[in-house]
Amino acid sequence: MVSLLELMLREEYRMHAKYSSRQMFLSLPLYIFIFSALFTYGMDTLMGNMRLVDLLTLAYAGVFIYGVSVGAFGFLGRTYLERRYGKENFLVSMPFLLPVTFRRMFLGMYMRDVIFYAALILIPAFGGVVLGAVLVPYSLISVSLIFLGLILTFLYGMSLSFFISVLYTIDRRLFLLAAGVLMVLMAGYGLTHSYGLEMIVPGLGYQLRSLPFPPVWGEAAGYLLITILLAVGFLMMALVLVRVDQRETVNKHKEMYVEHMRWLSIFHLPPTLLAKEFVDIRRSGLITKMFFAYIVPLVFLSFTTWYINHGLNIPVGFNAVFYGAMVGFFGVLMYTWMTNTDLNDYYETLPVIVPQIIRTKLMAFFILTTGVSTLFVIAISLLNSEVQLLWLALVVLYCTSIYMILATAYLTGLNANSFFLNPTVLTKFTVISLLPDILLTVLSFSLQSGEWWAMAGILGVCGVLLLLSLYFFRGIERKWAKITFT
Amino acid sequence: MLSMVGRMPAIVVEGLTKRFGDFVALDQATFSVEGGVFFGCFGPNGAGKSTLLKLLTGQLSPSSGTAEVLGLDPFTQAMEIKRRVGIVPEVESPPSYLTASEFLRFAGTLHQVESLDSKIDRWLGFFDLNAAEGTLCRDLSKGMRQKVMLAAAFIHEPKLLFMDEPFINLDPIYQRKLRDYLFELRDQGRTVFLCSHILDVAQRVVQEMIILDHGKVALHDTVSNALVGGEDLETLFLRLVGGGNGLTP
Repeated sequence: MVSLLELMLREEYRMHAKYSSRQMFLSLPLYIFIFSALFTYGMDTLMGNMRLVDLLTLAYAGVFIYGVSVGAFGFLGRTYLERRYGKENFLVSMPFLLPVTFRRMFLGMYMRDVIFYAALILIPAFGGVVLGAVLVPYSLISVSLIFLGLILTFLYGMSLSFFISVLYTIDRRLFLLAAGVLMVLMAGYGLTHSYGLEMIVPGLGYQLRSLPFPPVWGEAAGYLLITILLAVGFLMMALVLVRVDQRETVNKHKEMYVEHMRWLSIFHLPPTLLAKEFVDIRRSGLITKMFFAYIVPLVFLSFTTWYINHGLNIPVGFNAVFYGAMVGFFGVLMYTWMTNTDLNDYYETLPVIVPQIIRTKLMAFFILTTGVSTLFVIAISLLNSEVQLLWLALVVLYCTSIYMILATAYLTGLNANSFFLNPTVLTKFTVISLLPDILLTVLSFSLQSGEWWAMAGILGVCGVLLLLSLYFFRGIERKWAKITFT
Repeated sequence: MLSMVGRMPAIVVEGLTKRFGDFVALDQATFSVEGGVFFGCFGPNGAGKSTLLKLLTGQLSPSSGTAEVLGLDPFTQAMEIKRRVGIVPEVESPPSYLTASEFLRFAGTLHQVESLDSKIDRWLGFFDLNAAEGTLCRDLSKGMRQKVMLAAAFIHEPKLLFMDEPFINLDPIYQRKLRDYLFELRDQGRTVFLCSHILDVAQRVVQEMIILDHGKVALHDTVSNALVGGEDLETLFLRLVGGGNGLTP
């Protein structure tokens, strides 16, 4: 197992390193370290009115969602296992050829990703936070306890996602049942307050009863143990149940491309490429992924603040304008999925260039998500009784969405997943995304007290974001026109 | 059949070199291909055949040297070249979520093919892809996916075809059918640039060729000149590049 794991890690490293130089790739942990240290050092200033409970809730929600996105091996399985990935083959396809079980391979994948992402991101981040904490100073014990909770929440998210994605390959009904249970749990705590968010993310239960909050050690240890048991339990169940989809039946599909071309032509949209994009989205199951990568995180985040506000009776400053800005960030995840739907090799044989396909994906993204995100912001405004902020929340939503997606497309082209592990790209993305986000968050918190300058500031930021969006849009042609699809 | 004399060259390559770090995949390649010629590019694994094809179709940029395809520069005018040529790539990778007929419609629309419906029907019939109606490309066998890629390269009836191992994955029936179609193209005066390892099939269709070895052009000649004395292409190939493998005839 050790030698297999070593080879898998080497393979993963080489796959990611090909998008930048080795030196650049290996400097990523250093970048994370420095960024975390600076962020921790300046946290008081950067967070403005945002309190620690808000920040840690967001951190746990973010790390849980990150774990969920990393652990979806079951979804990836088919691409990885049953089809050559362009010209590349992965070790994980070896059980078809060599005497090694898929169960062992999947365990290897899980371990590989834990080690890879821990070494690359989580441990350097912890190191940076420790350095920042020493300089401020914050309590190192608190920092260590937070890190422990976060890393276990990450593992729990990975295991849960692995398990649910395995159910998907066994029977779609089982998958829908598991996903339904998760949704009911979320909706239940958000709407009825009859149980806590700890039912879904026990790591947060641990955190709220541990340092830096007034500790209740017994309960905190209990939540930590539950997190560990769930992480191990879901992993074990996934490993027991995992199997390779042998594709004993080949489904027949109704002709869909012409129908989409016709439909898009009615709306005077460029039909050839966009119709293919929509056919890809529908047939690849991206709508399901979109549900989990886009809608669930939004609902999760809303219920989390709802719970903290009403369940724990801790007033939190998140309002509809804040949510409008956050939607832009979840959109990045969605765009990343869209660039990962299929290989692009065949485009090399056709008279198209990379910017055309990027623009097509952007158009498809906005057609798909604008309605959902608008409804979400309207619903949040109504739930929070903030109808007076709705217009501003929608302005912020549209501006940040356009800005974030165009910036992502400009920076990463059609390889969003891989380029986000390139330190140069990541640095640019951090600056591009974090500065406006912090500004909008801080200003949105100041809206509560009815400050006129907060509203003017938000509108000013939105104006700048639109100007920058125009720059990114024009830059896509300049940057990607000479780049090939392979 | 059109005469080969006095035609404009379809491809001109001068000192073309491609390096990947320290590895030289193509080393100072120089040759030209007249219009209407069925041109073969042969060589052992790693000799630089696919690299050359990718350079000529604008999929890679060269480290040095120049090339012209139909009078266009592949490194600055790749789109114009792709509009005029058909490309069958080394890896059969049609889009996963389209059916064969949907992909042909997609490719045909991008190539602005007239009477597209009848052309789609023709190529679906030619490669017997009607049997896979409604099946996504990702669920097709490798051979069927190869047929889809071939049909997509043929649908706009290009004057110049670049084909990288087109016979691979095809059963003997379709190897024969493809070979007959390539004969037709040759007789119509179309230019074909073929990279292949299947030398007995290639010998029957190719008029002029290069043999690459370690990125260098080891031979550039017409097949009739090169095979003088009754030698077949395989024997010539082994004589030129098989020495290092203990396979010198």
